[in-house]
This record gives sequence, C-alpha cells and structure tokens, in this order.
Amino acid sequence: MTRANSSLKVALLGFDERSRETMRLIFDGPGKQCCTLTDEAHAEAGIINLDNIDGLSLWQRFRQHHPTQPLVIMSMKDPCADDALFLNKPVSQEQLLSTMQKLIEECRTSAAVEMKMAVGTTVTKPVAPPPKQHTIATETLKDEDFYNPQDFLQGELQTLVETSREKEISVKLNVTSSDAEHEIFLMTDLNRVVHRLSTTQLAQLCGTPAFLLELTARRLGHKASLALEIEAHQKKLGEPLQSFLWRVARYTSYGRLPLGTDITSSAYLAHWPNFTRLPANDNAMRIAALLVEKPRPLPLVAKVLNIPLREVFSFYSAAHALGMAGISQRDIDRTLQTEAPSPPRQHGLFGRLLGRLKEIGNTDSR
Amino acid sequence: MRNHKIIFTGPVGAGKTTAISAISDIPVIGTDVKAQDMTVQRKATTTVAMDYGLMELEGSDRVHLYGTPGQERFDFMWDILTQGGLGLILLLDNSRSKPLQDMRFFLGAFKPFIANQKVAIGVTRMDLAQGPALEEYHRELRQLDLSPPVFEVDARNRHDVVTLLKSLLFSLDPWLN
Repeated sequence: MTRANSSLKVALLGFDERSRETMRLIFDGPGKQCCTLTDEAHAEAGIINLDNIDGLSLWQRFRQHHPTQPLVIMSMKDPCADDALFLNKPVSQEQLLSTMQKLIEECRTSAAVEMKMAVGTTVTKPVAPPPKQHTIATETLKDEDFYNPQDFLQGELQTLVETSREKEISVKLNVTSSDAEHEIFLMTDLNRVVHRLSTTQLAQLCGTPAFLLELTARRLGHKASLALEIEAHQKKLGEPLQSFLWRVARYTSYGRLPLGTDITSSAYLAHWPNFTRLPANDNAMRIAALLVEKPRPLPLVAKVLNIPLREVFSFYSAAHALGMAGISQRDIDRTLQTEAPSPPRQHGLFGRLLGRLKEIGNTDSR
Repeated sequence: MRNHKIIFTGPVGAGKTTAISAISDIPVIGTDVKAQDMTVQRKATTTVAMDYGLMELEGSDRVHLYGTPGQERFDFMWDILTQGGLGLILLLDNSRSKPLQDMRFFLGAFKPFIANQKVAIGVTRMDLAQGPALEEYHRELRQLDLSPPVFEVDARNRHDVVTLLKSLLFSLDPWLN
C-alpha cells in the first residue's frame, strides 16, 4: 500500500443510513484530508459498528476476508479486541478523526510489512495462493450478503439435530420470543419435526437473532417420546425433518450466504434434494440440475439461468444446511469456470411439455 | 404432427401404471392380466406387454408414455421401446427385498439409453417399510458415476409424478422456464 498525500479509503460496516450520512458529512468536511468512504471491496481499512445486530458476524467476516487490514470498532462496550482500535460511543468528531490518524499510521506499518514480505526478508508467512482467474465481479457483495447460522435459531436447530442423531434421542426445544412461546419436537429417528408454527411465525423466529430468543432444549423421556411418536403417526402431525430444516435455512438466509462462503470458487451439490417433499419451486430444480452436473460458481449459475442472485444464494444456503452443498476444494474447480452452456436442440418441445406438466400440476392432486 | 415418447420402467408393483395414469390425457391403455407367478404376492393383476398413455401438447406435438412390463422376461422389448425416447422414468418399490439391487439392474439394462439421455428415479412405498433411505440410493449411484434426481414418490399423487417428470426435463434442459 503506498500512501503519501492521498486519503485513506475506509468502509463503514453495520451503520444505518442516518449514521452513515453523519460519517459522510465528517469525512467530506473536516476529515477530508485523512479519509474517503468507499465500499468494502475497495477499502484499505474498516470501521465496524459493533452494536449493530449483525456486528459480531460483520467483525468475524471482515477478519476472514481482510486478516491484516486496519480496523476501528465503535461500540458502547469495549470488546477488548487486539486486532482493532476501539472507539467508545458516543463518539465526538475529534475522537473519530484522531483515531483515524492512528489508523493511517497502522496502514503505513502494514504497508511496510507487506513490502518486506514482497522482497522475502524478515517476515515469514505462508505464501498466499495465486490470484484466482475470474471474470465475475464480486465487489458488489456486501456484508449484508452473508449471515452466520450460529447467530440464529438455525444454528441451534442444526446442533440439536446432530446431537439427537448421535445419542438417538428425541428433543424438545422451547423457543420464547418477545411475544410468544413455541415448542418444537425433533424426532430424528422418525425424520420428523412436530410443531404448531405457521409459516409466518417460523419465518419471524428464523429472522430474529438468537440472543433475542430464549432457547431451552431438553431430552424427551422414553414414554413421552413414544406417546408423541404414536400421536404424530396417527394424526399425521408435523413435517419431514429435511423439509423443516430447508425452510428454516431459507427463511434465515433471506437471500444471503452462510458466513465464509467463497463466492469466487465453484459450489457443488452432492445430489438432488428430495424435491417432492420440499417446499421448492421450478427455479430450485433448475439450479440443482446445473450444480449436480458439475461444480460452478453461484454467480455464473444465476447468470446462465437468468435467476436473481439472491434466489441462488437462498437455494445454496438451504442445501448447505442439509449438508448436500458446499464449496469445492478440488484444484480443478478452484478456477472459475465461466463457460456458459447453451440450451439443447429440443428446447421448444421441452418448454411445451413443461407447460403441460404445470397445467396438470395445477389440477387436483388425486 | 410430431411424436415423442417417455419411458416408465421399474420392477413389478413399483407404480408405473398408476404414475402414467396420473398425467395421461387419455385413460391408460393397459395389458394387465391376472397375476399368476410370484407377482401375485404383490398385486392382483400385472402388465404383460406395456402400458400406454398420451400427453398432447400445444403445436401438435404428442408425447407417448410407455410403461414397460415389470417382469424381467420381457426385457427383450426394452431396446426397441427406448429408441427415440426423450428420457426415462425409473420407479423403484422400496418395500421390495432388495430395491438397491433393482436399481442397479434397471440402470444396467438401460445403460446405452441413459448414456445419451437422462433418467429420473422415483422411490415408492417409502412409508411402508424400513427400506433404504434416499441417501443410500445416492451412495449407490455415486459408485455408478451417476447423479440423477431421486425423489420419494407416491405414484397416486399427481404432484409427485409431475415433480419427477419436471426434474427429468430440467436435467435435460435447465434453461426451461
């Protein structure tokens, strides 16, 4: 990084529109000489509002993507970070600008370190992989495009499912939100989940950060478990476990990717999801068809199929939660495959056949 | 008028006739006779030649739906039947004694066809028996270097049959919308 008189390019993470505007006024006015606001992809440093509900995730993700970049954390409580400068809220203009000056100093230091590394002198560090060849712009990705399942009900449910499978037990999870209490029974041996949540209620719970929910899990005794199994069987209660987890992941993802997903690498789908038992649309099947054939970068899938990127992200997040999707670690898949396969010769016929199937599907089921 | 065909195959009692009935525009023309061999243990009648259904599409295209007889002694017909086919629907009965072996048998028998076209697999009667889970089918398929759609299917349920057919179409052409 070479810095003489040019200002430091800084990304703001976790700030609402009003705070962002205030920061912009400062950096366009008195702080003009030291900092310029930009997006994360072009930034040389970051400022994170840790009091944002996604603050911790933003911090983790920032460090994952920019392990050496200088960082300022703004919060009402000192997180005692050793990888960032701390600014206690409320922050005055003077405090902010003085901290930014320190940050510029850090940038100079890290630039010096980078230069030493470049000439192979005193600093030892693993050699970074060569830059990937890609043509898909990823600089448009923002913090909001990622989420940490562990910060939501999804993470708790996945952990409980794993535990109940390992120990071959049924589990009851009580979920208390600000306005209601719900029960979720996980019967992994039957691959079923019993609950009375409406779609809206489940979606709301999935979108609420876990720290705002009270989650209490307990093992169901043998008798209670058996009684529930009989009732579930007789009254056809509940839904298949996979379908439930699929929905939970989709509601939580809300068009975002699990934290740490490398969007520039190819994503794989190990096999087709069981679409007759999942709440999925035709686009999900189209995405599955392309990803099962061979690993491909998600932006390429969206582009080739003309599907919104967020819908592809949602699909990936749901399939990832079910353990059937991931980012390929194979060298051959690490380079972006940008070839765009084209529709087959019989595209017209297949289209008419699909139209007929949709008509049939819209009639009564039996 | 252009004619095309989709083939439904699988062992005795897997639901081929029922699945064709669920989507055919005409009542299925069958060649069922009273079952006399081992088949009688699974159902009262069975298909000895083939089932036939039809889907008429816009633009005067017709898609003929052929169901192969389940018994292996009729497999001489399969090569002829698949010629010019758009794709294959394989229905497997999870309550049979060795459904994974059934899958290997049928995928082997239709191997030349699958090499050029696509197959989608529906597993029926998953609610009736503690047969293999879908994951086991996928594992078996990976060994065969295949990755077709494999869904739990109730052949009487039109939604299931339509979804399975759609997956076959999207495998052939993901650009469909």
